[in-house]
Amino acid sequence: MEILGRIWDYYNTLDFAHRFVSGVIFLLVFTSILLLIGILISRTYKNRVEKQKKKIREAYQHMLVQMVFEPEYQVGQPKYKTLIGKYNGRKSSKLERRTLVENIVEMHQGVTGTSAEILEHFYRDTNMVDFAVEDVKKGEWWVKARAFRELSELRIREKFKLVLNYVDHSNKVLRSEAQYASVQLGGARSLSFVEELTQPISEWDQLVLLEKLERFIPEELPDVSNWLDSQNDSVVIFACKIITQFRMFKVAPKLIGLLNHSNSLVTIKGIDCIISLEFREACPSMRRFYPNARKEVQIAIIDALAALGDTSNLNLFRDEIEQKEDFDIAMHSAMALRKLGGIPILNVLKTRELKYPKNNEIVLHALDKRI
Amino acid sequence: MRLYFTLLTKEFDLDTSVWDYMVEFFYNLLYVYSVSIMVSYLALAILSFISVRKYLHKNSFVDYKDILNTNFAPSVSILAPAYNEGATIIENVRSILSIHYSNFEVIIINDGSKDDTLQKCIDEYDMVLVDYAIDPKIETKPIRGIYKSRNKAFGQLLLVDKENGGKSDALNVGLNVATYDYVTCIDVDCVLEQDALLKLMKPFMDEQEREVVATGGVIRIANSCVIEDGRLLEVKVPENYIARSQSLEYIRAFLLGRMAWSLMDGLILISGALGVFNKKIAIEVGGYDHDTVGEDMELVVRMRRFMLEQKRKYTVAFIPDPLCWTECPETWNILGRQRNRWTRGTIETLWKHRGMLFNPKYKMLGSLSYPYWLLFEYLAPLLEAFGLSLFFLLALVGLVNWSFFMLMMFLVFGFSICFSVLSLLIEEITYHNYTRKRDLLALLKVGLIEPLIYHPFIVHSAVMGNIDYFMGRSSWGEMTRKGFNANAATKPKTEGEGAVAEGIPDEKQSQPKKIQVVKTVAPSKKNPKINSSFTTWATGAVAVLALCLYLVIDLDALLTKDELTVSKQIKTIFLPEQQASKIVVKKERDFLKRTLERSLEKQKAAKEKKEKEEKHKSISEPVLLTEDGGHEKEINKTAKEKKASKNATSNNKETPEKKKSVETKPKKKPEPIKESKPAKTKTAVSNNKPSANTRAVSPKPGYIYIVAGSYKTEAKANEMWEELEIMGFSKKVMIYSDGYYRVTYNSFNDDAKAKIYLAGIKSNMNDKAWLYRAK
Repeated sequence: MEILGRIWDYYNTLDFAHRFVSGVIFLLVFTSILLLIGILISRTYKNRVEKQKKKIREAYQHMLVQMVFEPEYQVGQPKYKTLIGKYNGRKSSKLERRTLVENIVEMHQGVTGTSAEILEHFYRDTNMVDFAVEDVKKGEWWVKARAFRELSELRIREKFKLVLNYVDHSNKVLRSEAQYASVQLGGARSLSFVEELTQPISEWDQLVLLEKLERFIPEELPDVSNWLDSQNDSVVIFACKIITQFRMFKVAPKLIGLLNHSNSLVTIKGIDCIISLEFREACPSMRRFYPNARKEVQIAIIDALAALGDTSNLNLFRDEIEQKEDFDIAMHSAMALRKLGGIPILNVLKTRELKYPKNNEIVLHALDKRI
Repeated sequence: MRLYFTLLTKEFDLDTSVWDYMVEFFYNLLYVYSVSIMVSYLALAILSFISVRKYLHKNSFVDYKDILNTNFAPSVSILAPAYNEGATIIENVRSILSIHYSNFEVIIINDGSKDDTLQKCIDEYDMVLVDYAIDPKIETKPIRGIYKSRNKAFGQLLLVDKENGGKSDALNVGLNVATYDYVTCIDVDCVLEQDALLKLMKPFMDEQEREVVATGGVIRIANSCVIEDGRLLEVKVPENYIARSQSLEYIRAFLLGRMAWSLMDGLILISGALGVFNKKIAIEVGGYDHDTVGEDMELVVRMRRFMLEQKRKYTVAFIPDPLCWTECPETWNILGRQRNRWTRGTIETLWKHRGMLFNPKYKMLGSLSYPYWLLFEYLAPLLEAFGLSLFFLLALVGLVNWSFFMLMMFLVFGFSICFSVLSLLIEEITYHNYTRKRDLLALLKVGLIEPLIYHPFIVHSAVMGNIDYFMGRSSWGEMTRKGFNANAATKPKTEGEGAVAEGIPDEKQSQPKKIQVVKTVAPSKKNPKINSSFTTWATGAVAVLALCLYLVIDLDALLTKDELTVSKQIKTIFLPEQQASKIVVKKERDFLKRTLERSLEKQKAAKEKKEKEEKHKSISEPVLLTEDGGHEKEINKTAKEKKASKNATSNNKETPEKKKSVETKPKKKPEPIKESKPAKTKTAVSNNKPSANTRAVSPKPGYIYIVAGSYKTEAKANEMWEELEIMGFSKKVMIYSDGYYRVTYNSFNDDAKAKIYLAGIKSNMNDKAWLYRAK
């Protein structure tokens, strides 16, 4: 204490600048010690939680396995009821509850049929649904999103409407999770919410939704032809992807309308869709739009004409190689010729000195079968 | 500010010159700079933490497997430039081909390797020369040939053989050849996390309103980590001190820096080791710049600038997950070259885009990112070096206030350590990569000593980078690295020109999972290498620094004729029973003075009380109190003597010597020799002649004395003498002249020295001291 007192006396004898700098040094040292303690606490806490989780997980896993695979533990049986009493969500701690839900979800992903139903029952019987609903109503956005995931994974269909309220939410992650959950809870038909979206669907979300839709058959899907008229370009693109994935031939004629779309990306996705549906009737329209289209659309049309095997445009491709300076268009035209059996034309072009020397290389490229 | 300046230096000149103002200005500038750099680092750390937490929350809902098998995922061209990679090329290509992504092509660009890189690829992957036409949108060195595999299993592999032109040129060839919309540039030495490409591609698929021009990820140090078959199995802190310091540095830079810039949409650097770019925009801006050694940063700046000039909405994304593990230099020499190159790259980029500085047209880029890089990334090491040089200069001329200097040093080190601990805490909370306790301890230890060893070296390398840049040296320098693969390590070192034999301990070769293969990563350009032996240089530099420090301390000790050690000063705090006065030096006296002032005041008060009592006792002995320049002095003086004294003064003023003396006095505070003019006189009774045992001596003619006080009685003068004794003035002299005892701090026979000393005394001790010139 005496030494501290002397240090304090010394500090008081200093002028302002010395005192200020000394004070900051003290603050830094103090903060460093606090941060160090923070590291230790964080590490200890993480390790402790991890250990606890492991312990709880082991106990729950054993119980869940019993429930799923042993008949005396199945729904309605006395042993099942005992388990419900023991693991009632209201009695357990937050960590226990979370770990239990994680375990149920994890196991649910690995099983189907009756086993999956047992887990769903257990989830309901332990009042976990109430907790999830509470999370949706009161929690932060990530708590809500986690609850959506939980409800959708365990197919709590009666909560579909609750989830549906968030499909156009301003928070991107919450919106995405609600959309995924809606598809899982409401089935493919529930996808009709897409028509009313004001927020764009990101390319990532589209891919995830397509992945979720894989387990449905095309008949279960809503009518996506209307989506092609949507003002939301992302919805139009998503519709094209669904049409491609589910091969919805009926919608194909409507795709021609996209050739005139103001957004080039939409047009290109429409053309990709035409290719995947092998909708050859679109070739004359594409040929008609070709001269006035933007470069990227022109390339897409060349690829489409080649992919659809429209041999009526060989002269167009030859002309493009002979006259166009644009490397990409010449290259795609040459490859189109190769694909459509225009090798003789390419051979003729090979012997000639073209207007643009680079195009001679392109011809050689197209003729090289190793590429 | 003024206070700070006067504390750090001492105003020895009586007249403040332009030089003084300049020095003061620089000091203030450094002070403001230091504070702002610390504040900016803290602000970035806080923002980064917020941003990383936000990201982790968001990312906890992402399942990257969702897009792993879809055909709708955007296609990516992976560009991997190779130069003299013969020893490891097969393994590296295999590692890239096994990356987790659905639609991608791999383009290996052989940048004129002098070894068998090309042949090995051709043989291993059954490749043949094809008539591949490419659109040379970006000008590059000629392409010798393009190879494609006959084996359909390697259908997505393309090998381009070209003339040597450096990394930028190779990447530009890759941009020309790439067929997909996105390109990723990968250093073949790196170990990628399996989902690295998925994570890097996500921002391109997520963003709806803005175009994503590039994404980057966190790079971590792989030295000493356990790596098998191109996969990271266990994270460990490097055993080598240099690599370990870099580990900490990378954590700070990526976790506490770039994430914050990403949040503010001001990120201008995406590491060349791993980044995905929008090919169309990269080509539109002209690809990688051949004329810079910092091509990765330059490209990002140019892309951002282009987008802003085109008024297109865009962003540069950053993923805080550790996606890429790279091997860092383990020797000072190689590290020096690397940092030298980075510095030159920064200068080149900043100079090339100087038009953006504070240009509102470039929004965040011009108003914050660019100035930050200029002021805190580029200038920081230079100013640090300048500050140290200035410090040595000032120390040599004795103008350093050591106590304040030490405090400032502690402040800087304290901040550095605090910042390192903060970064480790954030790493611990977020990614928790270093799970072993010993790793954490090792990083903490590094954080403690890094400011003393590693950081000065980095500053030195940055300064050398500046020198090299301004001398016109633009070499990449040879970057010798070990590799990740064990099998390749056993191959003969002579196989590839890049295989460097030194630095591979034999015992390491037998450890299969550690980084072992040695190879040259970067091509050497036309310019000469940096050949000087760093060890010799560093030893010399340390010796010179030590000598300078010794001289500084010794010189100071010589000047003050006293001891100068901080430890002894500290002892005065903890061991007050020691004779503090004996170990106090002239420039440290101010502290002691303040502590002693209190006791002196008490003594004075006691004396005054005693005197008052005496006064009451003998009214016949009146006391004369006079004020001279603010100093209370007692002068016992008779009226007759007073008159005589007045006459003497007036006579003195009339002498030519006196006139000269007055002329040479400073303009600032002219201090006349006030030894003889009391302000008030009540009475004076005393025998003013010196006694037989007196300390007082006659002043030496021509000498100039710095007077602390002038007294009529010897007793009072002796009191002052004792005070000076306690304060540690070893050169004090008491002189007796004109009927006064004058206690002086010091004596000089040089007018200029006397004035300097007086100024020092005035600013630190006694602003009423004055000169006395003996006749």
